[in-house]
Amino acid sequence: MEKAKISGYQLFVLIFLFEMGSALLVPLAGEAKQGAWLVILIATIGGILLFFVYYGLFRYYPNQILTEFIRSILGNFFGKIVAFLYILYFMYLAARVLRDFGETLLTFAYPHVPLFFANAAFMLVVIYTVRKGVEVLARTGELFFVLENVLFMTFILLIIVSGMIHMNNLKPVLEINAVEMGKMAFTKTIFFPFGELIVFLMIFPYLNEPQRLKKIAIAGLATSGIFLSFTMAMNIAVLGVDLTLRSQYPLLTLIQSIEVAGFLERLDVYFLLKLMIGGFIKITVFTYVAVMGTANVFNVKQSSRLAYPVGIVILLVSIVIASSYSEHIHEGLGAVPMFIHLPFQVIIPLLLLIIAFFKNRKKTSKHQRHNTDLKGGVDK
Amino acid sequence: MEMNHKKLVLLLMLIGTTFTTGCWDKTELNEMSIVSAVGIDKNKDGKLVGTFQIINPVNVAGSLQGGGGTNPPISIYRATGDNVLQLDSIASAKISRDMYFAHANLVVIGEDVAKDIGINSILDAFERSPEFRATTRLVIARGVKAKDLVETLTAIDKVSAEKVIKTIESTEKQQGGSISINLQEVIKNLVSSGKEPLISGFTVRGDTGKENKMENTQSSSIAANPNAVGIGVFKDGKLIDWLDGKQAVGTMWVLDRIVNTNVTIDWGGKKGAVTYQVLRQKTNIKPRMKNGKPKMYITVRAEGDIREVNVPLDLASPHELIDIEKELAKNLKKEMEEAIAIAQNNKSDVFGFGELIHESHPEYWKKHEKDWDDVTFPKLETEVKVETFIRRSGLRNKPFLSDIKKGDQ
Amino acid sequence: MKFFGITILLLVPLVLFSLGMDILLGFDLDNSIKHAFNPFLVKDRAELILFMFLLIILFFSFIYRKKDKDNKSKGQQ
Repeated sequence: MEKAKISGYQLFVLIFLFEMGSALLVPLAGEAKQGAWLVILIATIGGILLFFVYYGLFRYYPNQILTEFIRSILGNFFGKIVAFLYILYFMYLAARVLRDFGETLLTFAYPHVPLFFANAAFMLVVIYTVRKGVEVLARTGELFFVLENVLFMTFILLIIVSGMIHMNNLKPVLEINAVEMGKMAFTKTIFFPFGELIVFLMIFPYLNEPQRLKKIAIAGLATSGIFLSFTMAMNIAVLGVDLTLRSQYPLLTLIQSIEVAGFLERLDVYFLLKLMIGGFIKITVFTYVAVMGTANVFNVKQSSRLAYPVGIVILLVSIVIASSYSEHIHEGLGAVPMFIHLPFQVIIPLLLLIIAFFKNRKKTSKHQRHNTDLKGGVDK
Repeated sequence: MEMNHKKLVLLLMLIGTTFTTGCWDKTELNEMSIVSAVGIDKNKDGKLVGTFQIINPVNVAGSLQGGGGTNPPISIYRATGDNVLQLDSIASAKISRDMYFAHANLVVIGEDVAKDIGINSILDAFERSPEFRATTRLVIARGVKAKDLVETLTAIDKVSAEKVIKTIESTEKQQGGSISINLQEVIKNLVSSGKEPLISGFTVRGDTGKENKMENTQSSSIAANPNAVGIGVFKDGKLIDWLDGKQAVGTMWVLDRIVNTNVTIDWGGKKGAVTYQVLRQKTNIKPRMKNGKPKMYITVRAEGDIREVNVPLDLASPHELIDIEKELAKNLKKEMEEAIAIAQNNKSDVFGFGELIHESHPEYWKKHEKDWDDVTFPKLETEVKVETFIRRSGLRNKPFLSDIKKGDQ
Repeated sequence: MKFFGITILLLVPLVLFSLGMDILLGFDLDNSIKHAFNPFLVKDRAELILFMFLLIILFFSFIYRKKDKDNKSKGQQ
C-alpha cells in the first residue's frame, strides 16, 4: 500500500469518471429499446445494493486493500490464489477498456493508424500516471471532472436548443415488459459499469475520512447512473431506437447530428475529448489497482516499478483479446458479464463477506472494538 | 623570417579560396530553362521525336496566386534525331537558354517506341547523365503519343509532369492499379534475368486536340485530362502486353506493393454487395524445391475494414465475419492466380520469381537461367494462400437495410 | 528476475483467459488461436519498431531494477 491520502471529493470524482468511462460509448442496455434509460436506473439501484456488499467487507478491514484482506479472510495460500485471480480480472478489464478506446479512435478518426500504435501511446501515458501514484491520479481526475461536465452541459444545451429531441421516440417505455427489464438490469447492466466499482476496494483505504465513504460512493454511483440514463434517453429521443442500436457509438452519432445556428456543427472532436477523459481515468484506475495488487501479492516493495511490466502486459492482451471490433463487442456483451463479472463482482465478494462475518464474530467483541478504533483514526 | 612564412601561407589561402567557389561550371538561373518532363516518340521514318516540357516559372507562380493564369505554365520544344542526346542538342537550338535536367522527374515513352524499338536503347543516356535523377519516374503513353501527354495543360497541379507523377502514386496507394517506378528500378529489372520490368500506362482522355491550349483548363470539367490506365508488361525491353483493372491489382498484390485497395465481393446473390478496404497487407513469397522442381509459395495476409454493405448483414456477429473473410480471401486468391497465369502466358517474369530462386537455390538457377522466361517460368508451379482479417466496420454495425421491413421493399 | 517471472505469470493466464472467452462464444480452438494472434501478423514497419522498442525497455527494466534495489537497500542501511 502506498502512503497516500485522497479526499472525499476526489474519490467521488474518480467514481463518477470511472463509471462514465466506457459506458457512455456503447449503447448501454440498448436491447431494452425505449426503456433503456429505465433499465439503467434500475441497474443503478442494483449497483448501490452491490456496493453494500463491498462496504461490508470494507467495514471489516478498513485499512487493507482487497488483495490484502482476501488473505486475512481465506488464509495465506487460498487468499493468494484468489487475490491473484482478482489481479488478472482487473488487468483483463483494463485491456478490454483499452481496446474499446483504441478501436473507437481508429474507427472514428485515424483509420490508417495501427491499433497497436494507438493503444501503446495511450498505455504509456497511463503507465506514467500509475507510477506517480493514486494522489496524482485523483488530482488529474479533479481537473478532468470540470472539463467533462462543461462538455456535457454544452452538449445538453446544444441539443435542446437545436430542437432535435422528440419525446415521442421514447414511447412506449415498456417496449419490452417489466420482467425482462429487471432481468436485463440485473444480468447485464448492473455488471457493466456499476459492479466494476469493486476495483475501488483497492482504493477506499486511502480515503482520509472513512466515515463518509458510504455517502460518497452512493453519491458517485447515483450521479453517474443518472447521467448515463439521461444520455441514453437523449440518444433515443434524438436518434430513435433503430439508429441508436445500429450505431457502434450512439453518442458520437448524436453529437454529429447537432447543428445550431449554422456554425455549431461537426462537434465530433469534443466527443473524442470526452472519450479520452473517461477512458484515461478508467484504464488508469484498473492498471493502478492491478499494480498495487501485484505488489501486494508478490511482496514487491517498490510497487511503482511494476507499472511498466503490468502496463505492457495489458497492452499485449488488449491486442490479443479479439481479432475484430465485432468480436470484441460480442465477447463483451455475450460472455464477459456471466462468466467473468458475475463471479468476481457478486459471488466471491458475497462468500468473502459471509466468511468474514463468521470469522469476526468468533473473535468476539474485542476485535470489533479494534476495528471501530481504527475507523476513525488514520491508518499507518 | 617567421613573419614572412606566415604571410605566404595567408596569401596561398586567399588564392586558394578563389578556386573553392567552383565558378568554372557556373550556370546562372536566368541562363537555364528547367525541364520538367521528357517525352520520346517515333516518327514514320523510325527516328526518335523528343518533346521537352519546360517550366515557365513566372506563370506557375502567377497562376498559384490567382493573378496570372492567362499564359500557360509550361512551354514545349520538339526535336527529331537518331538518339536521345541528339534530341537534346537539336532542341537546344530552339531555346534561348541551357536545358537543365536536374528537375526533370518524368520520362514519357510513346507506346510505339516501347513496342518496336524497346526501351533498352533509350535509357542509357538518361542513366549516364549526371543531371538526370535516378528517381525520375517512367510512364508509357498508352494509345496516344508521348508528346500529347507532355503537352497537356492541367488544372490543379499546373505542371503536367507533377500531375502525372502524383496521379500514379495515388493510384498505386489507393487502388493498386498503377505502379510508380523509377529509372533505376527499371534498369535494374532490365538487367536481371530473373525479373522483368513493369511500367505504368498513361493516356489523355476527353476532347483531345485542345489539350495544349489554355482553354483546356478554363472550364470546370477539364476537356482533356491525363488518366492513369493499366500497367505495361515488358519482355526483353519491349512492351508486349497491358494489364488492366483486376489483372493489374492482382499483379501488384503478388509484388507486395498494395498499400490500400478495395475488394468487392458478392453476397447473398447480390453483385458487389460488400466492399472491404485493405489498410495493411504483407505478401511473402518462398520458393521450395519439390521433386527437383521449384514451387512458389505465396502467402498474403491483409487487414482492413468493411466500408460498404448493400445487403442485410449483421456485422456485429463475429461468426458472420469469418464467412466474409473467407469469401474475400477466395476472391483475392483468384485475382492473384489470374495475374500469375497472365504473366506465365506472356512468358515474362514480372514478379521476380527468378530472382528469388537465384537467391535460395543458386545451383538450380545456374542450370535454368538461360531459358527461364521462355521455358521454366511459364511452367512454374505456384500456390497462393490468402488470409484476410476484418478489423472494423465503420460507425454502424448492421446496415440500415436490415431495418427496412419487408413490406417497404 | 522476479519481475520477469511476475510478467510471465500475468501474461500467460490472461492470454489463456481471452482464448477461453473465444471458445465460450462458440469458436473452435483453432479459430480462437488464430483470432488471438492474427493482429500481430500484419505489421507496419513503424509498428514493428515500436513493438521492439517497448520489449527492449521491458527487458532492460528487469535488469535495471535489480541493481537499483541493491543500491537502495545499501543506501538505506
